[in-house]
Amino acid sequence: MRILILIVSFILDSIVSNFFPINSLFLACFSLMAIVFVYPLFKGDKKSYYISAFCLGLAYDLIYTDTVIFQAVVFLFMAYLTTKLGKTLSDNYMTVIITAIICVIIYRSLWFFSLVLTGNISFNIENYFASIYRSLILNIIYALIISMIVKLTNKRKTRRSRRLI
Amino acid sequence: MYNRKKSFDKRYLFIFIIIIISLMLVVLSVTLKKNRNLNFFEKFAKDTGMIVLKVTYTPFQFIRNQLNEWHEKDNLYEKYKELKNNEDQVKSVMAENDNLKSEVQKLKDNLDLNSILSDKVLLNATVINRNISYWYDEITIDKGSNDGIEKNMAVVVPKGLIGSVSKVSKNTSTVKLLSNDNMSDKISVKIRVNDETYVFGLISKYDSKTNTYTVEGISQNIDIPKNADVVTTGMGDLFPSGLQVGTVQKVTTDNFDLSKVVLVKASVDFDDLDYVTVLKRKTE
Repeated sequence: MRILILIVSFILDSIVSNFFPINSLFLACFSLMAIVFVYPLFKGDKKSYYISAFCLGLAYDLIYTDTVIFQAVVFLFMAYLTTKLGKTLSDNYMTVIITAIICVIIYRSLWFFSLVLTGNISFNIENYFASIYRSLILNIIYALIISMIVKLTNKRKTRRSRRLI
Repeated sequence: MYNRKKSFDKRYLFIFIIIIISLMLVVLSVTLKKNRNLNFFEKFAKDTGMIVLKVTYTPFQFIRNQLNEWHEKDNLYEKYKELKNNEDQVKSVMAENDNLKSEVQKLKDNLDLNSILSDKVLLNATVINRNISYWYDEITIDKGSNDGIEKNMAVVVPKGLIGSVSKVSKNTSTVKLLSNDNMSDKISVKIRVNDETYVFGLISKYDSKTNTYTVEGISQNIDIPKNADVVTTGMGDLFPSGLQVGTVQKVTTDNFDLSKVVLVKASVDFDDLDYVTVLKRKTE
């Protein structure tokens, strides 16, 4: 299930990009949302969680952004943050929204400042904030959908294991 | 002793993180270099990934096309009336075009030229991806080196120029759009003042809010009319001549009143790119 969510999110990133205009308020970071909110399905298996995050980031690098390793390391870092946040935060929908906002801000900031430091784009604070607020709506909705799917999957698994006992 | 060891480790961890970040930035800087070619592994991954994405996108594209078609059918009668009005003009323009073509051919024969700046070969392509990475406005198309596409070829839509090919794999290519806020290539353009007079300038930036380019470096003291056509000059390595870029919206002067600064309304809507055409210069 967790791998399916990651693959579907990765493909959706591409499909959604074709439907919404470049300067719209609906920019997708579905792969990132998937890696953050799919963590409960790994049941604390950090090693396979980190490997999944790295592989997804690497695929993002090679297929979408034409970079090498960068997105893989960023996704790995986001996965590390998720494991740390997972210990302290509860799993209600308000927390999901706040986590999604924090993730979008961190991801866009890392991307923006790395590109500014390497001289690929010029520093423009307006563009920086635009990249964040344009990414919020769609990704919050997607984060809520994933967390609902994750909750339902976990509930089903718990019921099955109870029946077996 | 334990505390000493812990602080020692932390110090090294900090240095290790700094080294990792620096390495990451160096790798990012190298990989985003404009002249970089994709290596074999990257080409293979991109081609394979894009085949999967193209297959999954096909049903969505079909629905999208059906919706567009349905929307266009709504205005069919108005469009028919408009076309009917333009029919006579089209005939005269076509006759003029044929005449110009034969004149160009005669001149080429007289001067013994194999090709001229505006000669180009067309390759049509479908857009698979758009702007996945927010920071550099790019699209991915479904044609690559197997179809004869090479780096730096110009890419157009019926309304005008949209950008150039920046990376090529076997079956896909990445197109860097002119809407990129940090367009590093200064594109040479000419503004048609009247039938015989053109002024030359360089596109220096693009404003996504107003969909306008800024053209600088115009020192001639000529009045530039509003709505004058702006086309590429064909000078430089990138674009063939005569590609529509936009129309003049506003003319101002620079801070020192030495040269003119022209705001050009882009002829292309960068939000609506489904099918594109790649141009290849015959001289290449």
